[in-house]
Amino acid sequence: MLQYIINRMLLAVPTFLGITVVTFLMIHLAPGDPLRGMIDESMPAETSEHTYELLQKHFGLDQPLHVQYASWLKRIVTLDFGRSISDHRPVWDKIRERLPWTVGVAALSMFFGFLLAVPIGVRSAVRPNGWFDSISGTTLYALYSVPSYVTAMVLIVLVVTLPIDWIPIRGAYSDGFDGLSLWGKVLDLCKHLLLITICFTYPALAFQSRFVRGNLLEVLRQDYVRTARAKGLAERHVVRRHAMRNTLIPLVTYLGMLFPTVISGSAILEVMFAWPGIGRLMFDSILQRDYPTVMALSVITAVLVQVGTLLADVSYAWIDPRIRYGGGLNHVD
Amino acid sequence: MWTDLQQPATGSYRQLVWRRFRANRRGVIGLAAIVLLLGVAFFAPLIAADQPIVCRYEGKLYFPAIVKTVREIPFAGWVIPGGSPFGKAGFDAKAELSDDAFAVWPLVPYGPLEITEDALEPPSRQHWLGTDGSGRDLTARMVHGAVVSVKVGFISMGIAALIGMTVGAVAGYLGGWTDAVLSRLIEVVVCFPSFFLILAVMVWLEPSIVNVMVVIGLTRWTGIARFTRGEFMRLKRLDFAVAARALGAGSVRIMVRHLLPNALAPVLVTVTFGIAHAILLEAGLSWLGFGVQPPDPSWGNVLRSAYTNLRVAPHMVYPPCVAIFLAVLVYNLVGDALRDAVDPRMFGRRR
Repeated sequence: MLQYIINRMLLAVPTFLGITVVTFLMIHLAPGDPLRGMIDESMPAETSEHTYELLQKHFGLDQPLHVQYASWLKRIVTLDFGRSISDHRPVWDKIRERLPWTVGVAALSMFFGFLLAVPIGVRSAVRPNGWFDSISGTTLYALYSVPSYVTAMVLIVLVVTLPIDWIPIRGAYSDGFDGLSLWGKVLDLCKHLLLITICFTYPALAFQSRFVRGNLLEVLRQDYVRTARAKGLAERHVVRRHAMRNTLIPLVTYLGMLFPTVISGSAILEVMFAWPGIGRLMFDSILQRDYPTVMALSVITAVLVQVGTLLADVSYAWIDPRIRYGGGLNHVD
Repeated sequence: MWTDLQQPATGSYRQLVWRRFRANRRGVIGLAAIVLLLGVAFFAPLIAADQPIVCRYEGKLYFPAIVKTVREIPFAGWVIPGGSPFGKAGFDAKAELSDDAFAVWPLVPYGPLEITEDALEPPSRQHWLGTDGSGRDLTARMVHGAVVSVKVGFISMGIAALIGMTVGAVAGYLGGWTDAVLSRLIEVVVCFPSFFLILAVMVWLEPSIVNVMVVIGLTRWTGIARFTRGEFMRLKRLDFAVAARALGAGSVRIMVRHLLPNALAPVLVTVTFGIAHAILLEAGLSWLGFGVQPPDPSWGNVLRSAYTNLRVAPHMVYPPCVAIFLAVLVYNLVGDALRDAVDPRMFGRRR
């Protein structure tokens, strides 16, 4: 067990380095020179050339590439991503103030997803191929094929055309938010969260409920479930107490792995709902050609995905004693 | 494939997969819909155009829309003489053809870029789906947007399949250190959430459909690589591969001639799902303004102009939404049916 975790950790190191190398190269292979843009063109050629050299020295761009990479790596490990080109604030500060909005929606949607997927999955598994199973299966399958931004557009149009104007379609809070009472603030936030949370929740629902269904079906075939039934326990009791426990853990693990993807997959929805989160920051930074912010976001999300996968693998091995990955090096899910 | 041997199977593995695929109603419907979509895309200039298909002008018959269609096939421009279909530069068929002249118009007699006087009109008999903010016919734009979706789906997944199969085949066949290194590479690419990576790359590239296809292709190959790798690891130990090596076949020959045909089926499943995803990504990128640039039509940028004119013309939202949904759905249906058809464990068992 410990050996497996250590192997997995060691394998994460080259992957992490790979992620940083890719991002670093993306910065340096980028056409255009950010420093040239900083120089005032009205300066005489000699002065501007001198300024350019000074700037190069200042930003360390006169060093060889591997030295630059090493110092860049050292800085990003301490979360120093440099300053934004668009407003000269530290990149990490910009990201930090957006993070709660995205994480909040992601956490909420995962919570609701869990809340809905488990009962649906259990109900389907108890009577496989029954009417509930086929209806929910087909519905969720169709829903799964609706891209979330398409749903978002339809919801927005419905809000605009139907007399349900009290649902806000843009932003995370109303204009006079600071003046509201505590309950007013909570209510205002909830209203703004409504549509975007729906759009984040439903795409994963099909997969999650099928996941629960599949796992539960497998568990229900196990010997210990038969034993439980044989000793005369009520079916409800067998499902809830005995079978459920062994299906929930993989789901939690799966959700943990999903988290980083939810955070990064949010760009379109956040732009649509004018939501002040990470995805929107990415979008705005691209429009402003703000390389440091774009690169910081790429590295952060990539590392998050890596950590999520790592945690999922490790917890799988932890939970399920049957899983003992051997060899390490050859393991790709 | 040992399960196949237990069955009184006749014909090749490919025929077997096809037979199992055909037994799946959803899959067949999906496949029919895809063929229909391809047809719409291929004949788009004949379905929606501002030129008649056939018309009589000054006593001669002309086929302007057909000529235009043929000229849009790559390299056909070298064979078909250039200039406007009428041999006149800037010929406006609608203005210059008299009303009683013989002319067969396309189903939708508007071009995707043609600007009419009615902007933001709701659906009517003239404009089936209404018009957009510049007075362009929405039906025509949707029909021509299908071309973009089809192109993006197939070309980007073609690129992805090429990279994925090469990397997966080499990693799976050679194993050892090569495999370790390539697996790390796959893992690195997987870690970059594809939409973020595509957006990040788009900082430096001009927004265009070609760039979208290339970037999607370069980022979406990891699933294909994993499948191919797994299949190659399994197949290379089988007797026929060992026999080929014993006969003195080289590594490349074994990989391409013997293993690849047997590994194609699962790859095809991934590619089918990948096409659905690529269509979704392209529409999303175009919606954000990084894909197909207006005035050129794409479902994504039609949706964008719907978003801009939300309160004035809510009717514009539905056509692109339905189109994107259906396109994604039919590829998913076919992907699922295909997966069930190639999966030997599913064989002989009805779901």
